[in-house]
Amino acid sequence: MSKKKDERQFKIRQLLQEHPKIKISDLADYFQTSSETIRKDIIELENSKIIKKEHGYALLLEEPDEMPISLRNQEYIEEKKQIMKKACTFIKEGMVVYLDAGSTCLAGIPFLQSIHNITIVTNSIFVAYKCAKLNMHVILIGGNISNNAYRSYGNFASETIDYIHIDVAILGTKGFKDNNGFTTYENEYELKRHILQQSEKIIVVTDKNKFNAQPEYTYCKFKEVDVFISNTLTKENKSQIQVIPEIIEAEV
Amino acid sequence: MSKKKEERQLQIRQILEGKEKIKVAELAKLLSVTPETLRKDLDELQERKILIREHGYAKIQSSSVETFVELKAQKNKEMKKIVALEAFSRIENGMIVYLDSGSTILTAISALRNKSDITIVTNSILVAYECANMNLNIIMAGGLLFNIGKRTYGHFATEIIDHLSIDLAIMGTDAFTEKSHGFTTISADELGFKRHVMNQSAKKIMISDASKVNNKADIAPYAFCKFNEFDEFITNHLTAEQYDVVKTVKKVTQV
Repeated sequence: MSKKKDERQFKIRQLLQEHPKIKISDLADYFQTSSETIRKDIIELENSKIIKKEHGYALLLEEPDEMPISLRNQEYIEEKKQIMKKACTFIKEGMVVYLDAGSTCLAGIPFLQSIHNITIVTNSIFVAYKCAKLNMHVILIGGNISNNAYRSYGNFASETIDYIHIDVAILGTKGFKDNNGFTTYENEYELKRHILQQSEKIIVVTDKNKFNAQPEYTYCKFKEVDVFISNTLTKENKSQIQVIPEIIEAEV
Repeated sequence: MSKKKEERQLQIRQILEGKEKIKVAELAKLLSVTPETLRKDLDELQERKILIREHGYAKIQSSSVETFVELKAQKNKEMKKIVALEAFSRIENGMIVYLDSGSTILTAISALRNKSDITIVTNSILVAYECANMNLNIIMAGGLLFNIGKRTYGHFATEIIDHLSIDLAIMGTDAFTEKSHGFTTISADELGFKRHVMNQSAKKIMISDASKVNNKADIAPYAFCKFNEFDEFITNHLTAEQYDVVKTVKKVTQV
C-alpha cells in the first residue's frame, strides 16, 4: 500500500471515531481528492469490517474507542504484524498465552482472535482492552500502575503470575546492545522473572532497532529464550543471539 | 425460576446489549440450547418487555441496566456528572480511594486531576486508563475480565482488595427498590467483588443517577449490601416515595 493511501485511510478512521457518519463527498473535499478515491478507500476498510458504505455515507462499524490505542505508536506496524503472525504459529487451541505490554504484541491481537479457546494473560491495560473488545478470554494481572504507564507491576502482579501456568509467553524487550540478554524497565524486571518461571515456552519479539539501543535491566539471558522473532537480521545480529534455539526473521 | 434458566436469560440479555439485534438461530447456537428452550426464554423476556421478536431476530427493547459501558455514558450524562462531582468532593488528600466501574464515575473522572497524593483502587480498565492519563497512582485489582463491562472479577481481584485498607469507596449500583432491601447488581461475580471492597473500606459512598432509583429489581437480582451499610447515598432529586426506600442510609444527599 502506498504511504499516502495508508495515511489517508488511517485519517478516515480517526475522523469517523469522532463523527460516526460522514458524507463521502465531504471526505473527498477534506482530502482534496476525488469521491472515487475515497470510495475505493472505504471499500478496502469495509473488508476489515471497520467501516461500511451506505447511500453516499461512510459509517463507523466498530464501537467508538474509549481508549485511542490505534492512534498510538504506529511505527513499523507492518513489521510488527509480520512478527506476530510468526509468533501465532506457536499457539495452539486451548493454550494460556502471556502477552507483554507494548505495540508489538498489541499488533498481533487480531491474529490471535481466530485461535480457539485461548486465554490471554497480560499486565497491559491496552492489550486487555483490545482483547475484551474482540470478546477474547482475558486475565488482567493487577498491581501498581504509575508514572503515566499503562501496565501493572509490583508484588501483587508477581504473586498473581505465580498462580498461573503459562504455555507461551510472548515478551518484548528494550535495548540489548552488546548485552548477553534481553532488557526491560526497572519496575518490570521482577514481574518478567516470574513470568519466565511460569512459562513453558518463551518467545521474544522485537523490531531490529533494539539491537542498537542501550540496555536497561536484563530480565533474562539469551539462552533462557526458546524462540526469537524479528525482521531481517544482519550477520552480526544473528551472531550475538546465536545461542537461542530458534531464530525467525519475519519478512515484510 | 431455576438457576440455570435465570443465568441463561441473563446471558441472552448481555448478548443483546452487545449486539442490539441477533438472529434467533444464532442465539441458540451461542447458548448451546435447543430452539424450543430458547423459544420459551424469548417468550418470557418478551413478556417482561425486555426484548421483541421480529422476522427471526430478537431485538433489545427496554434499556437494561448493564449495557456496553461506553454507550451508557451517553445517557443521562449530565445528571451523572453532578452526582460524581459531589462524591469526588469527599476525597481528601492522602486517601486511598476505591472507584467502581460504571458510567457515572467516568463522566467526571477528569476532576481527579485536582487531587493530590491519592491512590486510586479500581477493577475497571476504563477508570484505570483515565487515571493513568492523569498520572495518578493506581492499584489495579486485576483478574478475570468481564468483557462487556470492561472490569475484572474473581479470586485474583478479591485477593488484591483483601490486602488493602481503603479509606473511601465510591460505588455504583444497577438497581434497587423497597423489596431488594439494599443496592443490587446484575452479575453474581460483581456481587462477590463488591462485598470484598465494602469489607475493606472505612467509608462507603453510593452514587446513582436518578434513572436507577426504583428501577425494577427483578432485572438486577443480587443485593450486595443493605442500605444502612452505606455512609452516604448521593443522587439526583428523589421523590418522597423514592426517599422512603433508601432512608436507612446514614446520609442521603440530593444534588
